[in-house]
Amino acid sequence: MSTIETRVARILTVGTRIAVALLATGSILLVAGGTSPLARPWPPLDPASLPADLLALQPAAFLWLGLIATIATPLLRVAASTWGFWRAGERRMAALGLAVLVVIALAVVAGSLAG
Amino acid sequence: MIVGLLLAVGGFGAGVFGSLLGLGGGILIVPLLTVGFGVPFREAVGVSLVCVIVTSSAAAGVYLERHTANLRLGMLLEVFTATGALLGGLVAFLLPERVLAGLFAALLAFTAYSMLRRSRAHVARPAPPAAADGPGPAGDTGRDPGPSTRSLADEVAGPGYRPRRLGAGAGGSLGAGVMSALLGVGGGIVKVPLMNLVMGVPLKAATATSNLMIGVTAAASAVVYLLRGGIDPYLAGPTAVGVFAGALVGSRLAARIDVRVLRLLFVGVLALTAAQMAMRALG
Repeated sequence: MSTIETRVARILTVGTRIAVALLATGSILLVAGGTSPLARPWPPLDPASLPADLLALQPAAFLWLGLIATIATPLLRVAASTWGFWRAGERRMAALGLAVLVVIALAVVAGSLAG
Repeated sequence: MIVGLLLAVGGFGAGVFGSLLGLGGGILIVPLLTVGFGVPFREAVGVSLVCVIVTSSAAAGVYLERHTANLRLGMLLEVFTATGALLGGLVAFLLPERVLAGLFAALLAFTAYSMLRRSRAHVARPAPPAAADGPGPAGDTGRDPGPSTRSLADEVAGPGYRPRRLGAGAGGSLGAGVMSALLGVGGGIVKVPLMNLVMGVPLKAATATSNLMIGVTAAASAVVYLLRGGIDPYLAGPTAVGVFAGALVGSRLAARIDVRVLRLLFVGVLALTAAQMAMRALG
């Protein structure tokens, strides 16, 4: 039983460290480049250009990736818990985890349609 | 360059104070950005949601390792907080910013009042007995009937307690989710009393479980904000890094500092900020 908690805790810890490292890198590049964080408009999220922008050390690319990692970390936690409960035979808890993931999927659809 | 550093320092301060006083960063980040940097309210909420996820994920990992947070209860209530956050995330883009600022002013005033009450009542009221309206955890009977025959309350029971009034908990969690998405806060001010006083979860477990839930709740609305272009990466980066560092420092200072005086001082700051937000709401 406790292995699910331990595994999930590790996901949260590692995910947060990666997210904060990316956000910190982006912030340092942003400040070093002399761009004000209050500058408008901010660069839009373009997943297709992220790899090239990361290689070019564009601050926005690191910041967007950090933001995605931040939001994905708790969602990975739910996915890992759901899988762990399913494997442990806790079907009802697995169903609850699945329900949370369905709500998040609906949020993605709603956000995409409204955006 | 100066603005970036100021954001990080402001986030650091919010992280330290939030950690010392048991508040999420959101209640401090939104006023910092709107009042301090003149950022529009909705943009501040988007940034605040990111900060709230970072601090929640960092703390929840520790709470889970220590077995303080109840993962099963958290996942049950997350279905409702995430649904509320999804609805709130959509409604937030329909409401005028003045309405949101007014709601935030009310939340600040309520938080200040709650903290004042807490500082007066040194001894917290004990939670009602967990088994008041039903049998104890399955383990209490000496045999475990297995997941398929246990009630939901049994499945989400923790060491020494069995949550009750799950329906009320679900309804309250839905409201906490809406509030989180509209105002960019974690919603612990609702969830902790809900779990502790209504559901009979011990305060320590309620606080840790609420913290665990905040990440998913805020992520549900942050997804909507992100896809609608409502999160400014330039603002979110330095602020979130500052909040993360501040929360780390605050958690280490917590054991060494008498927070009672700090809490009273903070009540004054919250009341002042509430007044500023109310003035903003009134135009």
